[in-house]
Amino acid sequence: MSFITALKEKMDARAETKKNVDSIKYNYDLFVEREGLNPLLKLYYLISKNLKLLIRSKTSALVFIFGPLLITFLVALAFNTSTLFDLNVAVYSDSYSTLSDSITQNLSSTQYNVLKLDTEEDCIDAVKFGDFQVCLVFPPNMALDNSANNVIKIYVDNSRLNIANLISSQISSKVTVEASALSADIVTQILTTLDTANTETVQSQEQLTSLFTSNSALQSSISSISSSLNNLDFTYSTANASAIDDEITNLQTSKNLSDEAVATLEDLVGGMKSAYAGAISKLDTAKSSVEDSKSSISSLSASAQADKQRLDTVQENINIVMQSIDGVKITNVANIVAPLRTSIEPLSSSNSYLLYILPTILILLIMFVSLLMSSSAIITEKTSRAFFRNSITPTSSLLMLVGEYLSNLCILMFQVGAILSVLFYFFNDLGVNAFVLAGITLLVIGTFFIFLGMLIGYLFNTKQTVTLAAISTGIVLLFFSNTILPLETLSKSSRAIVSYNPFVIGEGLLKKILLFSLNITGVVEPLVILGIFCAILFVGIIAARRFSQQSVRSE
Amino acid sequence: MGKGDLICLENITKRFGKHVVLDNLSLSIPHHGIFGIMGLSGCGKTTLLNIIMGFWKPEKGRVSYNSINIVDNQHLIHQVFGFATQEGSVYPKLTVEENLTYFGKMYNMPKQDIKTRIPEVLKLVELEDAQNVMAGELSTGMYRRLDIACSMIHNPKVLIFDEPTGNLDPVLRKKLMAMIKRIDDQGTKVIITSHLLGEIEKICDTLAVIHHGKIITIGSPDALKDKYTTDQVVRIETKKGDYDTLVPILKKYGAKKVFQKGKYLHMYTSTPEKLLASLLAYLKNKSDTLVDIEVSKPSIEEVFEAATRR
Repeated sequence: MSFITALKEKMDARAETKKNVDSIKYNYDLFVEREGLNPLLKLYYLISKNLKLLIRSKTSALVFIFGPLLITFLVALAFNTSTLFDLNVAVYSDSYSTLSDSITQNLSSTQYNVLKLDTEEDCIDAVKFGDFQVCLVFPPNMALDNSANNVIKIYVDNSRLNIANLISSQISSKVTVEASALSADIVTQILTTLDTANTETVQSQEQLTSLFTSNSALQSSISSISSSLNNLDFTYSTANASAIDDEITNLQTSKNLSDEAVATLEDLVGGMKSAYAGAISKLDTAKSSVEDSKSSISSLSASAQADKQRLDTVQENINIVMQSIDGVKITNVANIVAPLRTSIEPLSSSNSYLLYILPTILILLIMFVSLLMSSSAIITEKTSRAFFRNSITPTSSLLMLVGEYLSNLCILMFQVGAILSVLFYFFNDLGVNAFVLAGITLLVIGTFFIFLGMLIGYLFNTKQTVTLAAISTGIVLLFFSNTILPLETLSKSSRAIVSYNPFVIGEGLLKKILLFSLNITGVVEPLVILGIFCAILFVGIIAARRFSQQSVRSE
Repeated sequence: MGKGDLICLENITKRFGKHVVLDNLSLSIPHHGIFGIMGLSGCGKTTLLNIIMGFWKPEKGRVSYNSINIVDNQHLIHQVFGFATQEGSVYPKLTVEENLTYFGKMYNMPKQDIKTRIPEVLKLVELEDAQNVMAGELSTGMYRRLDIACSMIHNPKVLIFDEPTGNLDPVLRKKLMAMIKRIDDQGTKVIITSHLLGEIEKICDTLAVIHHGKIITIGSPDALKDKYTTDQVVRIETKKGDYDTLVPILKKYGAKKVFQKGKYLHMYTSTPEKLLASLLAYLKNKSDTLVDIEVSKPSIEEVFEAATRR
């Protein structure tokens, strides 16, 4: 029901009850009443007006519309590579050797500009003054021997946190490649020697077995000889010569044998006695010799036994050596040179720095563009006298706010669309879904920063303070993110707070989407958190706008 | 203060912090004629206008338009009132037509109504030829007229001008005042504040003087002059122009305040006939004659001074 109709009905009701009819008289012609327009139509005019204002202000259009596109283009050109360009490496050594020259040569054959300087101080100063990114100091006469102290000093400017680590790791990896090659040569030599030793040992073991056999045979022979010698019987019974003599005498006496016969007999007996004594003597000598031989054989047997024990020991040692050689399981040179190798496997398949830094760059752009654009739009509107005229129209503050937000969002959508389209051209292997999800995410993040910018715009009263506040806010959010310092360097409690930094949330979201190809379910939680932040900010904006309207009125 | 007045302010008090800007102020603005509000800077003129529009809520008191409480019926009041400011509340980067269309939409006007209304207001403010010109490229006078056009796009019943002639040269001021008069003639109620009292006096049918947050007097310009001054201003020009000799003689004849301004000699007197008779006799004796003579009531500035002095 219209106001005037309601008023007329009220008057009619009063007329019926005859109360206060005369005291109140309305002139209905003095009212103007219009039906409210469709809010969407009003929004269209609000957004259209805002966009016209932005586009017609050439500087703003350039800064807010084409600036981010230009930045993205330049960043894409600059970082669409996987190598570091134009790194200047200063080197110094008291006395260059073949090895240090080889490393230097290796560095200069890649993307590094290598220059030999005259002193170590010059080399270090070159890094301090920023002419060179790294200084390598080789030990004098660097060589591969036992007395060598092959420590290569790498000087980098640690104040350039990110590049320092990057350069030192890159240089280290280059030097490590050279060192690995050298180590491989040495280890190959050692392995060859070991292999030769192994072969020789196997051969020696065969000979040792033969020696064992010979030793056994020898011992057996000795034993047999000893046994034979032992079996020799040198016992004999001695003849009684006096009895023979007595018999001869008896025979001579009894038989009256001639003396000649007796003499002959006695000669014969005497010869026999003499031969017997000679045989006895030879037998004794033989016995003595056999005794000696038995003693020698016994000694020989002991010696053979001792040799066998030594051979056992040698065999045991050879067995140990062979077991040790067999125990060397890794015989691959590369595995010995670097038994534990780290292989950094990228979680994403990209070989370009652009995709790695893309989430950060995108969030950075969205943050600063949204913050500055929305805050600037609000302060321009607020300080414009037209703000007053808008305030006295029958258009609600909420609709004005939504109009401002949608105007900013339109520009942001244009930018996000353009940037993602270009990126899709280069990284179309990521799939359309990833880019659609990234677009949605960027708009949610953009909404947050637009709201933040609008709040700043309403809280401050001059363009200068608004710009300063917007930039400062952006810098604070940027500082407490992974972009400048790793969040891991912060204390646990600070990190817990900083993890809710919208910049960090947004960066993490985009990384998940663009680098790790996560789907919507994986990014819902951070999006909800951002949504809550947006709702809180929106309430703040409504309050701030009301406050700033009062300020305008009081002026 | 009658119930039949267009706008009634009853016992309005408005504070900003501890500073009382309007102090139990009561005012009735009649249906017809241009209504002017005079006052020193910072006396509460703009606050008063903002309260009339329902822009500020008073701490105490009631403001009504056609017996309808303004504070409680903001949506209705927005459609009824137009407000033209000294600086010009338009977008410089939009054309004249775009500004009018935009504000028309903000006032809920249908597209067709805006199309019909734009030529009307442009004709009224004499900006027909500048329809497609960027507002920022308009001259100061044209810019001010565009602001008035924007404040009238929704065909308000009441149009408020807050210091409309500020920063304008005399020619533009005169043109603007004539335009305001035309607006009034077309039936739109005009409420105006200005520190240029001479100009406000010329077009206003009713004047109110606000001082220290209160309306200290209200009435037509002539009525105020009658109320606050009994003297009249006599301006003469003699043939010889020997005013140094003439001043003591005039004071003797009853002139209160005599001063020379260009070739004229001005004086204040409550008995102009007697003074002029004596002056003519004196001049005849001195073989001099009057070349020009004018007797008028004192200016509204003097009324204002007198009113605020009390």
